[in-house]
Amino acid sequence: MDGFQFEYDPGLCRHCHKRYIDRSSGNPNEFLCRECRAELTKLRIPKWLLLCMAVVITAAIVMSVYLGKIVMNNSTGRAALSEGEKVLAEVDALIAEHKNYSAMDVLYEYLEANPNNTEAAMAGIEKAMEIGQYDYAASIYNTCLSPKGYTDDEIKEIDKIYAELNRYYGTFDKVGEALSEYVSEVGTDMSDERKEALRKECYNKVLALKDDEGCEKNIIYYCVGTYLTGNLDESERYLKMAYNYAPLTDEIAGRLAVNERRKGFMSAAWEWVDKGEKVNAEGIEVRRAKATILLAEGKYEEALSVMEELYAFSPDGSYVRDTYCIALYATGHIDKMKTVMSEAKEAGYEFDEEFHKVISNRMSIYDYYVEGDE
Amino acid sequence: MFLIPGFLISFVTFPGVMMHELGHQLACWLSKVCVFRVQYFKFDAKVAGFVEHERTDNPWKSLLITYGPFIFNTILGTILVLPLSLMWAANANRVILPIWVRPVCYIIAYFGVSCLANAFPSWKDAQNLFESVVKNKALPLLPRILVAPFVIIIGLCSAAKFFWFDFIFAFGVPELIYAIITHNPPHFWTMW
Repeated sequence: MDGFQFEYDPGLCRHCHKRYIDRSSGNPNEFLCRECRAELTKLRIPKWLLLCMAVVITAAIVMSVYLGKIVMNNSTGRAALSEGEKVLAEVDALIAEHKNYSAMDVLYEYLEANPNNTEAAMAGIEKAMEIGQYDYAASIYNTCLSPKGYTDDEIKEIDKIYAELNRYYGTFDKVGEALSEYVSEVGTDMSDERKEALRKECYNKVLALKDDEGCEKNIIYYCVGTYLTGNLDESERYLKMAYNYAPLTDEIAGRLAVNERRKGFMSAAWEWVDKGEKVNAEGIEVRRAKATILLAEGKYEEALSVMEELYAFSPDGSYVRDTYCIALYATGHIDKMKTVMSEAKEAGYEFDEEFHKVISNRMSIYDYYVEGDE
Repeated sequence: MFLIPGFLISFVTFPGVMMHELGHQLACWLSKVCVFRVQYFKFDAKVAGFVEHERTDNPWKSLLITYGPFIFNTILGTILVLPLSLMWAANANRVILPIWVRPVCYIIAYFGVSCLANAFPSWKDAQNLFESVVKNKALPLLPRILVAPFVIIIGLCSAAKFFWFDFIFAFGVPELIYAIITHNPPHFWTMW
């Protein structure tokens, strides 16, 4: 055959067919030249693929860092939540011991430090409202439930809390408005008939609020029974109605104890004190009522012990200064009484006329608490 | 068992197929084995992608090249599904996330799940490993015996693909990460 005949050289590189196979490695099966081997063992990845990978991996890392921070912060929150659960259990235990103020203080202190613990905040608000501590509930609401991201269920719960708080304070506002009008109109130089007419007018105005669906009846009855009735029996009737609406409010029990004491029914007064203490043994009204009953019964030292604690806890509470001074007077601590009186004067507090009669020995303590206006 | 043609799965999870081939390529590069041709992905019912490389008599290099995609795709897939797991963890903690987070996480997770679903060496890879190592009488007996279980593992995994094992693995990894982060048991498909 005369045609072209290809001369195959088995020593040539099988890849480029130009250079000779590199035998320097000692591998008898080697089939590539040095250059081809160097070239083919290089990592050759298309740029578009590298670019796509870079974009996706970068996005994944950025998202992981972003979400990782959120999860980390939230796991701290979860730890706080379990801490919150412990606090709520402590609150329950204190409420069971009738130490409502201590319970609220524990709760409030915790929530002030952990305002992001929404679950604890909502549970705390519900507990506060259950025991009639609306001021605490409102305070926690303002501190912890300020606008932030919530689930639909949480929003519904918050709305419920808001509606209840609104109803509570709305009633107080309406009653307070009527009472302020009455107080501003009543003058010292006014005739008793005119005063009575104004009282009756305010009484009717406040009582009319009970038909308002947006008002809390127990608050209306409590205010009527405490400030607007003409006699003790009527006052008792309204306070009992308020108590029936809200038996878990220690203030009402305290007021009823005071009413019974004023009528001279000490055993009935003690019954109301017991009821009040079962609701909140730390209640100001209940503790003061207890001290006044003790004073009326002549148990001055016991009364002083109660009032010392109460004065330290809430010196601005209704009649707390008066009762404390009477207890000091009754136990012979005259200097201390004068100090408390001067402190009260500095604070702008005025003692009533009958109080001065007692401490000037013109009226007996018994008469002051049983026959008097206090 | 609900059957979907393999090529259709390959088409849907094509980023994972590409990373599978890249895994082989990277393993070749690490083993200094020459690569002649790489097809990352092609619309073909028979072969979705391949890496043509020189034959090596080193059993460990063969093992690395065979298992390269499993290592590479698993690492890459885990990185890519991490945002999804973190998003679930955030949701479990009742964190309200911006609206754009969910779609972004799912898009990235698509790439991650694709990688994980294509992490397992193919039946063809098992055949290659078997031919080049286990059946290769020129090699000493010990490496052949040691590599044999790896071939069996690939064979079992390939058989398990009939029961969607590759996708159980792919969807299981983010759930496992979620469980580790939150200490909560995963709740499977409801999370998706």
